[in-house]
Amino acid sequence: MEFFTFTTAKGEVVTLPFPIDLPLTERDDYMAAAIAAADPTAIPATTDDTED
Amino acid sequence: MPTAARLNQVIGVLAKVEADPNVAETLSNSADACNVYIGDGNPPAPTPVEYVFDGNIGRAAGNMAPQRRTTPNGRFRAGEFQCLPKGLGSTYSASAFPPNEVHRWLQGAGYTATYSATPTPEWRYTPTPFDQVPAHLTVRQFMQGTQWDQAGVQSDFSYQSQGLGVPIFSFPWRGVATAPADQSLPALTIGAAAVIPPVASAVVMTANAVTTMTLREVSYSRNRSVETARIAQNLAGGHAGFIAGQFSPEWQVTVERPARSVFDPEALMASAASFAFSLTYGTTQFNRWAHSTAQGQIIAVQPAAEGELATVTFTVRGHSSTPSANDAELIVFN
Repeated sequence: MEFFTFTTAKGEVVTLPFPIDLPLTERDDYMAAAIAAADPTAIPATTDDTED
Repeated sequence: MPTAARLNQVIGVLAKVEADPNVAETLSNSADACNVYIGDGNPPAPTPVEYVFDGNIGRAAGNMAPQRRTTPNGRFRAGEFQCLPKGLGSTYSASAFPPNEVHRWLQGAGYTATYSATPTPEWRYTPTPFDQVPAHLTVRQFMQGTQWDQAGVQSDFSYQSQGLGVPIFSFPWRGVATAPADQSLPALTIGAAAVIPPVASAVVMTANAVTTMTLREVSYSRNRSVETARIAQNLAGGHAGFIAGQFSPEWQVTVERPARSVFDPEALMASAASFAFSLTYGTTQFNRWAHSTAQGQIIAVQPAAEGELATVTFTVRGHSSTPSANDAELIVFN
């Protein structure tokens, strides 16, 4: 099994596995979503300017 | 006269980590090919098919000749896969790895692969915790016009860095084999084929914070046990794979004998000092690798000589920081 690791804004080191049946092409998106879910502060600020 | 039916020339290897250990994966000639190292000459002959029970049922009682044998049971093979370690040559990511011959075989040797984007994109290989099932590989060899398949492959790991050439990774493996079949070598797609493996040049060795020693030779062995066979009478074929167990990472290093004020291996051994030890091969990002332990102890020292030159060979064994930590060693491809 392969894993990925990252450090949260609080300095905690988190290691999570890649699902064994996850296609390679979906790994980057999966990792980004998992990091965002584990560490909301890591989510890049997004704005929707269409209503302004 | 007809040509020879089979030649001992070209070979190929496929390997894939099994989603379900000991259950063979479907292999692809494009996605699963490994760049095997055969040295400067013809490849070695394939290793034999072996059996836990060889079929011998003793002597005929009336004449003491051998009885007609029964079918052997518990088929397996052991062998050694060798490769030259190198990086991908481009940025690592969650889906961009070191080449298969490194990334997959290190997992089969009992390491867990972990991607980290920091400090730079890198793949780390650490001892697989014993509460997790270690990676098993499905391995196919194309040798002598034959396809040799085995599943549930696990291996030991060692490497040699002698002289100034490229270190050679070796993975002595064992796996449950199927019967060999005729198959010529197909076209295999080797990953990162244009990347040249780094030679033993500008190798950085740090031992007890000393980086100035002149390094002559390195020999590493993981000393991983993959011996225990699972005899399974209730299973067709009788062999349920192998159990991997204890390991002991050891680096045997030969250096020009330094002044004892710089590095005194005998004193470090006598005091059982624990120190950080690391080796880094290659200098180019994404084509370099480092192998280290944060806790190494010298377990043997052998004074030696090379002509008029005084040398010393010492053995560093990595140990874990706590009885449960999986940090006896670390391999990084970055």
